[in-house]
Amino acid sequence: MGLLFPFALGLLALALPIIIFYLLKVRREELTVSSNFLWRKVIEDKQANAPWQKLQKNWLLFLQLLLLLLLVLVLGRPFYASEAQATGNIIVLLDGSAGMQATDVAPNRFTKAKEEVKSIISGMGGNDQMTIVLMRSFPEVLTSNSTNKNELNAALDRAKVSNEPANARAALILAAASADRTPGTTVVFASSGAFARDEDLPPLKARLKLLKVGQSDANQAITALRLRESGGGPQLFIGLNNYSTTPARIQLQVLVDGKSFDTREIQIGGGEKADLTLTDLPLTTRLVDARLKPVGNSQDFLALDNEAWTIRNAGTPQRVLLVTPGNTFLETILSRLPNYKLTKISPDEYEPLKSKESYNLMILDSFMPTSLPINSLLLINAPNTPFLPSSGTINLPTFARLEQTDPILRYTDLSDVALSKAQKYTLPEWARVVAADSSGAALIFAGDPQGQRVLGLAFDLHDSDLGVKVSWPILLINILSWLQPQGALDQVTELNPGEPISFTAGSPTEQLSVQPPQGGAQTLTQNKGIASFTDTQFTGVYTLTRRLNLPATATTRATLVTDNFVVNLFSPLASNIKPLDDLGLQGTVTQPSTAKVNSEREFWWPIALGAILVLMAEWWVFYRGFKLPARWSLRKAAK
Amino acid sequence: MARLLDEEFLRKIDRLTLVSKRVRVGSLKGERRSLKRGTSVEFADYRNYTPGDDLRQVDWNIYARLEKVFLKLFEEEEELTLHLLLDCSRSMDWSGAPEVFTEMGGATGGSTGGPHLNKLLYSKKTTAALAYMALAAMDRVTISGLNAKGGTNEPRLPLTRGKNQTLRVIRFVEDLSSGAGTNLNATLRAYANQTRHPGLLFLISDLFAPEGCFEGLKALQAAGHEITLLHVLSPDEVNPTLRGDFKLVDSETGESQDVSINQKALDLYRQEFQAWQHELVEFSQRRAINYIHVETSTPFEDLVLHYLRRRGLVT
Repeated sequence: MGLLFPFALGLLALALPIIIFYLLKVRREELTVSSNFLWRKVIEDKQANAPWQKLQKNWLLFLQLLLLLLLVLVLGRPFYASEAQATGNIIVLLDGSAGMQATDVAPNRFTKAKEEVKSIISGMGGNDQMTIVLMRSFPEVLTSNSTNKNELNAALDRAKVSNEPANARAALILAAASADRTPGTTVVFASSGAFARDEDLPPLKARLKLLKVGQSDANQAITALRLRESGGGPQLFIGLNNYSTTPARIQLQVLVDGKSFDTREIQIGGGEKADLTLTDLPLTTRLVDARLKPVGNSQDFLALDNEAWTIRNAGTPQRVLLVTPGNTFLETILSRLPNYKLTKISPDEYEPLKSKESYNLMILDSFMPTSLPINSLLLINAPNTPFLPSSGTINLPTFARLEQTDPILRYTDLSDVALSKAQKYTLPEWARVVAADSSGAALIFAGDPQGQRVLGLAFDLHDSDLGVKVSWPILLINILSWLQPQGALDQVTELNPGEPISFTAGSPTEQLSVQPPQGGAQTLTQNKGIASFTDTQFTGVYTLTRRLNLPATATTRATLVTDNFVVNLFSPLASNIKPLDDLGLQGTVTQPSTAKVNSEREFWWPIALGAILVLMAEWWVFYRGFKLPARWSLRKAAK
Repeated sequence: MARLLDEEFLRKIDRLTLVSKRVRVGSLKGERRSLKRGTSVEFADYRNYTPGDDLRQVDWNIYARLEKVFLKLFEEEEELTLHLLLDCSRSMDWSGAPEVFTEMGGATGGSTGGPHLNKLLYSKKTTAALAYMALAAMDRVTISGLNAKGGTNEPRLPLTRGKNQTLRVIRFVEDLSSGAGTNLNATLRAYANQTRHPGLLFLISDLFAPEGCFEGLKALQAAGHEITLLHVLSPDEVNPTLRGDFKLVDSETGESQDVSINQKALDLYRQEFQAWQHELVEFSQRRAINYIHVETSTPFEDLVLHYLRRRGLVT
């Protein structure tokens, strides 16, 4: 026991002036009375000529001196020595990754870790402060440099475990920065160690205390699930892994489009993998769901990686109508692009063609029909029409002005493209210039009149060397992506938990919404044709719905197109739940979780409470007087 | 006259007379019927003749019928002498504590004067009223201002008789002013020694005399006076409501005392007052002295017209 601020005891000297005040006589009001005859008999204070009087027994003086003593003690910040798990500046890195959902400790590792951190909070002294960082795929600071235990506990209660893998590096960078600023920092790592160690983790200039949570490594996981096309139909590849050191027996069940396709038991040795390929899946296979569960004496403490999904042919093939007298550059690339179904006709065959609206995209090469189609349009060297008036041609134009930030020109370099001639269009109001020559004449333009996307090239590909440039296929894919965002998923159909995904909207009026596996559809907001979805915490099948608002001329005003993507936990780090004793961090003094340090715990508040009580007693004595109980007085008299 | 007694009040007390249990023999024939047989026209009784009796008082008609000598007795009419001793010490010239020091709060805004009627003025009014009643009843009146300002001998109004002396008497009372207090016992004893016509004596005082007044009262009684003690006090002296730390200055002696007045001190004061008053009452009862306690909060007219009548001092 001691005082953190012993110099406060010097304030006890204030007792001297308090006593002097009591030695001083009371300054009295002079009052003339008829006679002192009767008053003389009740006089308590004897008259004296000196300004001092004899110090008398006075309860007020006693209480005021006691109050002074208590206040000085409070200012001195008394403490008693005790043991604590951590002191000073404490940074808690709380692992909130998927592996912390393991149930080898009740109720799960994450809750257990929070309890451990709470015990550290309860042992904090008055000078100790704590920062709590929740480690997930990105670090989240729950509370910073707080000495308030209620605030710290409330922050812990708010923390939720995620399905994401841990990103220890980002959290350690935060902790290292704080430790550099505050010497004597203790970093408490509440984790089972399920994070990558091969990356360059920053050294910590701090004591490191590992709160190891978990006690078992029993976990089997589906580590891969792929569909691939073969001659006999789709094949399914399944990767399994037993992360336990002991052999495990599991039951694997495969469902194809909701119907059970295959169930089998598999024995996997300790720490071994098992790969499996299933053939003869139905030709119409679209969604495959694989589930495993331990059988017999096998144990599996992490359920999150026991189920996985995969989607076949994400997205419907896009139907493209190419109207051209013949264009090798276009045909070659379009025919090789996956997910595009190309139909090529000559300009003469256009008018007789029926159900033109069924095509998602039309490419009109040196041709313009009498009535404008309602599809998305790529116009190449379009002739002069009221829709797109042309005032002649430009000779030897160059790509002098390029809107390089436009997604249409992403990853392209057109500055070295040579042109022999190009149309000189008078652009309508809906069109914006993407690339122009030095005179400002548009060479590439785009726009969306009445919700219909239209992009134009003002030159014939045969009048340029663009078709042989590296930029050409990139430019064409950019153009197709912009014109027809049906390939909105960009072929990405599988994500890790927590990974964001973005979609390209077909038009500004198109509505995109995502239905997560746990339900509750979310409508997405477009930003320059891109809509993002970040709430991919849950594993399972997500459904993307696009409501296509077609122009007024369309026969069908709105159509619904759905697509799917899946979120699987294919993370060896998360699935390997073996708790680690060594985190492999550098520049640290590691303490085991049971290590204790000396702590100075202040206890000023009960003294402050006592001071308040004494103050109340002093008030009572001042206004109401104080008398000893009668039996005390008698006892005193007897003595 | 207007300052002490107004005309209307004088008319009210015009027919009142002071009652004395014992009427004194005076040199003048008074208007009071005496227990003594005298020479008035009122027949009283007969008695046997004894040698030496005045033959002029023999009832010769009885002697003729009965042949026995009887003397015819007549009632004697005697006068009353009223002694009014008014204590004019400075303790009497006090009106109570300023309200700023009392629990009632500063109704008078902290002036030096108290909220009640000045004790000396109250006593002067009483003295004047008693004197007027005596003059109206053709009694002799003498007034002394005990401890009054004006030299070693106290101002004294010599024996005065007749209603025509009213103005003179009242002016004398008005002119009395307070002076330094002296030993009340000694003053009363000196007055007793000088008395040649004992009679009804009113001592009007607050009796704030450290040495007491009992010896003086005994001397007055020994001189033949029938004493009424009119104990005049301010309500602040009977039941003080002061609070705080004070230097109490005695108005008579100028001595000061430091007093911290709290509830406990007030309770103690009241106990002391009651013991003191009980001592006065007991002494008065034992010595057949009329003790009358008067507070200046009692309206003066009530005192004279009702209170004194109820006590049988005025009829």
